[in-house]
Parts: sequence; C-alpha cells; structure tokens
Amino acid sequence: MNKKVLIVDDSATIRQQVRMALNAAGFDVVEAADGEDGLSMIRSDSAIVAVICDINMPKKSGLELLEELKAGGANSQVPIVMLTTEGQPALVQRAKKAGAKGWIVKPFKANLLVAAMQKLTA
Amino acid sequence: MDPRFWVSHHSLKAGQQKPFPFKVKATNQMGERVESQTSPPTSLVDALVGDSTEAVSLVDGLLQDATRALFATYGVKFDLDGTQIAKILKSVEFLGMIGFSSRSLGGSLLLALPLNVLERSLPTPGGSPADWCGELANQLLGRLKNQLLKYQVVINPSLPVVVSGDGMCLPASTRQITRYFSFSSECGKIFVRLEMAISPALELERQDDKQREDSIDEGELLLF
Repeated sequence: MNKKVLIVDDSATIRQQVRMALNAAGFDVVEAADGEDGLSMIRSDSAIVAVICDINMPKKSGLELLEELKAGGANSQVPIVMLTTEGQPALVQRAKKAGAKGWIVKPFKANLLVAAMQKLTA
Repeated sequence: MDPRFWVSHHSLKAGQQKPFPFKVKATNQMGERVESQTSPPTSLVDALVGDSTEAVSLVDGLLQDATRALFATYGVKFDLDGTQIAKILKSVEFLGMIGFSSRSLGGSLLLALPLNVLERSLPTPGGSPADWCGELANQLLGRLKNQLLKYQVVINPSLPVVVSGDGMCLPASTRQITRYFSFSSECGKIFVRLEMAISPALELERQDDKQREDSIDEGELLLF
C-alpha cells in the first residue's frame, strides 16, 4: 500500500504540483487548502505518514498548525516539512523548535521534495 | 522622464505633465471611485521620496531582479522595458495583489498579467490561471522579502488577492511611493506596481554572508 502524504497549501496549483511529484514517486496524496482543515485531517486520518505545509494561509497559518499539532493529541508525531516562500531565519528556527522536520523555499525542486518525503517516511 | 516610472495611470497620457501634488481618480476592486493624492516623478526617483531615495532605488533593483528570476524559474524570460502601463493594462486579464507590513516598510505589490503569460508559466497542466496569478504574486513578494532580509528588513506578507476581467482599472495608490516596472517576453507583457511607505528611520545595511548562514534561498531544502 502506498504511503499517504498530506499537502496543506491555499494554492491549488502548488497542491497539484506536489501531488504530481509525489504520485510519480509512489505516494498517495491528500489535500487541504488551509491550516484549519489541514490540522483536522491530520488528527482524523492516522494513515497520513507525512505532511507538507505552507505557512501563509487563511484561517490558520502553517506555523500555528505545526505548533498546535506538536503540542499533543492524535497523530502529533507525524513529520512535517514546511513549504513556503519564506526564508526568514527566525521563522525557520520557530518551526524547528516546534518540531518541524524540514523547510523548503518555493519554488521547490520536485526531486528534493520526493527525497525529503522518502527519507522522512522510511 | 523614464516611462517606466509614471506615477499615474488614468489621469495622465504619455509625456503629459500636471501640477503636483494632484489627486488620482481610479476605480477600486469594489467598483467604487476613489481618489488618492500623488506626487511628481521628477527623475528616476519620485520627489516625495526625499531621504528615502537610496532605499527606493535599492528596492527597485531588488524587485526587478526578483521578477525576472521568478518567471525564469517557470520558463518565461522577461526583460525590463519601457512600455506604457496603460497600454499593458489593456491586454491584462489578471491582477494579483498582496500587501506587506513592518515597522519600517509597508505597502502592497501588484502583478498584472495577460492570460497567455499565466498559461505559459503554469507548472502543471490544466491549472487555474487565477490561482496561479495569486501564487506568483505571493512568490514574487517572497523573493523580495528574502532579498530585503539581507538588509535586515523584515516584512510580513498578507494573503494574495486576485481580480480578473477585461478593461480593468488599477486600484488607486494609497501610499507615499509608487513604482511601476514593465517587462516584456515572447508571450506577452506584464507590469509590477509596488506602492510603499518608508519610515524615515529605515537604515539599509547589507549583512555579510557569514551573518546570513541561517537563511535559505529559493529552491533550497533544509532538513532538521
């Protein structure tokens, strides 16, 4: 059975781009368009083995999602990689401290994204 | 006067001058008529800028580079040109807008694109041009933000908004400084408008690369 990865991003184009890259590498991909829905999906679907998450999104930011998830509760140990336009060191450190496993600055390279997912879900 | 730096888009025609300051009338996203006071472009840098001249020139260069680099990533090569904004606006079907704020620098970025450019740069087949327009505005501001970080300026972006249609008007400028840059490519022309207010206290000092070891550039992956 394929491993299931969640992509949380308010851009449908980015979600589609991630889906295509990961599908080609044998992952199943599910999508959420904002941080609130993303957190809800992670909590309710234990089959999700990794999350790729944008930061600037409606309802709940990616950092808020990360910090709330890592505070405890269902599926709180799932690895999360931030995928964002942000390269600000303070934000990177905040994510690292909260428990993120990686950080990618858009535009992303598909091979790097796939390699990160393969490593984190091995 | 360099045509790239027109302050007004509706009230002035090419080469036409009005006494300054004057009010620009335009239509906002809600279709309401709005006015804003603007200032004369006396040279490459607007007169109102005053002590912020250096900062504006720097941001100009960073934004031009960021625009070219962003579209190059998605397979479209753009060159800066002097096409009148009003002419480009006639062929534009999508406007992507995104605001930003910080203690020393605040404003908004507007990216105006024809459908053809969006379709050519879309990274996935059959994607939504409107969604892509917003993402491009987001990524363009992200690139500008990451360059400004080198000067110890941190801006906080908002969420992008996209407007589409024919015969669009630009929302009126509401900030102290407004900059326009037009670009051309084989698949069409675009322009970028940056409006901003700069704090007189803003000081731009470039960090050396050793101080920036923690930062990540576009396309890079960092695993913790």
